[in-house]
Amino acid sequence: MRSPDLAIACGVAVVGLLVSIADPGHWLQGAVLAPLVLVVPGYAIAAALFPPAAIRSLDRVVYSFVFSLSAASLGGLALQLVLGLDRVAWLALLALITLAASAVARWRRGAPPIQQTGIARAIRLPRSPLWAIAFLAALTIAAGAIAVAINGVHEQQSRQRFASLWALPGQTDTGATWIETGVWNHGGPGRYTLEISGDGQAILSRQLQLASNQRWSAKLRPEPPPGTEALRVTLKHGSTPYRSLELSLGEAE
Amino acid sequence: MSTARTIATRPRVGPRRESRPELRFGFAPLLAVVAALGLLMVAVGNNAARLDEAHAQPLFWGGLIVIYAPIALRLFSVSASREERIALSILLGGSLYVFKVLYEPTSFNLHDELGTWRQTSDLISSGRALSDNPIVTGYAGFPGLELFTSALSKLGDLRIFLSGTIVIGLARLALMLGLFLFLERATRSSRAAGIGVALYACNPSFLYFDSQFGYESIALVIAAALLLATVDWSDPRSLGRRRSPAGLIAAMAILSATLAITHHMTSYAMVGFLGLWALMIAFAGGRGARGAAAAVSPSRFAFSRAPWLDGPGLPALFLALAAGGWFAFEASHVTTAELGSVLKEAIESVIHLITGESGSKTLFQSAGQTNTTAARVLGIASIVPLLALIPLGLLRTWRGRGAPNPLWRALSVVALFYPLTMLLRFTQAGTETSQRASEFVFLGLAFLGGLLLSELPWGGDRSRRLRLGLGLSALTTVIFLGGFIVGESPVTRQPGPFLVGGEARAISPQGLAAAQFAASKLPPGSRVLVDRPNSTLISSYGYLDRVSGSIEGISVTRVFTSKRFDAIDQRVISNDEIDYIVVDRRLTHEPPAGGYYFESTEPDANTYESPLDLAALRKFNRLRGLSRIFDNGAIAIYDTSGLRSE
Repeated sequence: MRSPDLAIACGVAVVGLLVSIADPGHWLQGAVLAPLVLVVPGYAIAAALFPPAAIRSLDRVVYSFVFSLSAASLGGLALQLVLGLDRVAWLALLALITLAASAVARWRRGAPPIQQTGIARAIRLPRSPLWAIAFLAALTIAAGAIAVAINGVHEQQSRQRFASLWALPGQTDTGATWIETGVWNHGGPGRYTLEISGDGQAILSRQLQLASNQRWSAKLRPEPPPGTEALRVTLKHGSTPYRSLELSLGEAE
Repeated sequence: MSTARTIATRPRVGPRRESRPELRFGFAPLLAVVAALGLLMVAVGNNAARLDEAHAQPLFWGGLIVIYAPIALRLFSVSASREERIALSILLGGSLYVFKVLYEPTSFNLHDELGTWRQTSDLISSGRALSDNPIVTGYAGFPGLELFTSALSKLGDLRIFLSGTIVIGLARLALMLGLFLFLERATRSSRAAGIGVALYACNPSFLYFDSQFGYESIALVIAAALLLATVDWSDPRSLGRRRSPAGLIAAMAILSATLAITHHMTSYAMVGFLGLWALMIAFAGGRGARGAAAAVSPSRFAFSRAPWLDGPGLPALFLALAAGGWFAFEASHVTTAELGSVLKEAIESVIHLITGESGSKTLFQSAGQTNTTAARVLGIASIVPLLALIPLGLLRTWRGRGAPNPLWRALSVVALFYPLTMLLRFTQAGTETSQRASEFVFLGLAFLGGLLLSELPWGGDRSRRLRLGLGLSALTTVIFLGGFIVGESPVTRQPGPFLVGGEARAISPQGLAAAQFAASKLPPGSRVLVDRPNSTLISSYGYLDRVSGSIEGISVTRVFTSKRFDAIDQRVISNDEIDYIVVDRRLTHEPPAGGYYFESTEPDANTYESPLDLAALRKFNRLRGLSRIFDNGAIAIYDTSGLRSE
């Protein structure tokens, strides 16, 4: 008995393996391998459990998704006990489940007749293409709504203009102090001055010209005077102090 | 009932194309366009809300009505075909899922979503499930969703956000289909099933909570599939029971195991429901499943010695074993930690309410957030018809014509929990339990509503039927909108400007920048004290572990609220091994919209009338040994390594 549906399921598993080896890149990989996670293993499991006409076709749709979830979650849970769940492990697991379940389904379809006595009556799509055009239009409008919402989020975020200043102290092997510091500009282009001081004395100064959304960072050696307990890192916007940090160099009392 | 059309003994020859029935989508394609236009209205309304513009609300509510009302009207219609009803049910679920996506279409921003994100991210990076979760304790013991999502992310090379959105979106579509098929079999009417689906969408959790990237959203579809398999198993005349009983048994076992490792509450609720259904069969004297079983030839899977296994008793047993085993061997700690506290607080608050130890919570009001009069009226108007439905449904299912139907009776008992969940809303702690119970309770209400409303006399001319349909769809639209009002705080229904303690509205670019800094520069897993909204970012995208609760009987939130840093604060930081303190200065601008700044158990939770004292946060600036290592104006991060005692 021919089983084109199972052949397709196995085909997706094999093509998935090949695509994964070829590693062609983003969207093609996603397009080919997403069905191998979301639908195909579940379809094969449902086919193995329920021969044709044992359940209704819409039940099969629900089971295809949920059994795919079962395959990934139960299979993954068992597999992670012995292997890390990396890309190869996932691919092998889901392809193996698909192939094994398809084999069982194929075997059960070849077995005696009770499963073959009832066949679902096929239903054909409406002749008029209007329904397809309407659904397509609905999808397009819904996609437009999402695009509008994305645009709204970006506009709201773009109104938040600020800069982040950070600094982390460290010491070299010889005990010298260094500071890794950075400025992340989340606003428009701007000119900043970064100053480091200790006990009120300026130690180091650096001019920064940052473009919109530009990040700057550097490791600096401020060389504070002996006995300095804390360093102050100040970011000035123009000549106005804008952000400041305090880095403790000693132990608490 | 529309049954699958099968040809019992006809040889397998291909019928001529013309003889095959044509799918009749009816108004579904047109209503899909209408729903999409409704979504567009919501998107524009949300954008207006983000900028605090006046036309945000009319567009938002108008869009919701445009999505829901026409589909409900058509589902009430007597003329729609079964295929059209199925298409409309899926359309309704899908549209309302996109409605949720429109709230934040670029990333996850809900508390539980970011908890799931962290769990999934840890799974992807480590290759191991079941790691601790610093945001939602329970996720550590129920990895079903994370495993599925990480498989898609790894193989499809997709961001977790995209994978999660796809997974939950597909789950929503499958849930609507599964629910329709279950209700159709229960009521033996595709029309009743369609009405039931429209009513189920009215549950207060449907729009946001059950659409979020969280384990409960995915568990519902597993439960729906298990119900579908159980209905087939319990009916000896069903296709599955006659043709593949072993397949059905295996399916129920697999689904039970999947559900057990995916979500605690849904597993336990399903054990309860299936057990109740089995009990109803026993009370009916076996005239349910076993009565029907006698009418067909016995199969080798008829359990003659344990007839209760012939019906829902078997999946109940499977699920009880799976959930019990999973609890015993893996998830007891996280389940008790998560569910135990929620239930304990709910029960205690109800007892206090009854004994008069505490007053009741004002309905439609929380933490200073008050609904408008119109919203309150709508909220109450949504509850009254559902309460009225229950006695009528009980009469129909327990005293109605025909042989007793155990499934009907079990579903009507489920609906009885609705008034109880409403009572819980009179207490602060009970509100969460009530909200979480709604997706289960509404299964019973959906069934009763579908059954009763489809049995109303729909005779007469077309205009009478149209008037009746319009009236009922208007009523269900009120229930739908009111359910949303009941379930969601006024400030979180739409996106908007930054709001202190406002859950998703307290997620800001400044918080995100702090989390990105933490992820790139601070050791992963460092212990951090942080307010609740920022904790979701810091503990997810930032990979730090939020510290909460108390140590040595002292609430860790004291470190934020004490006006002067003292020895007790020092003890908390040292003994609880706090590595960093994240301070959001905006907390001093206004009281928290969600009722608390840090955690629901903090001393002044839900009673704040003024914002946090500025001095309480400024004290960190003058503290010797404490390093301020990050500052973006709104948020500062302090390193405590110089402060902690050796």
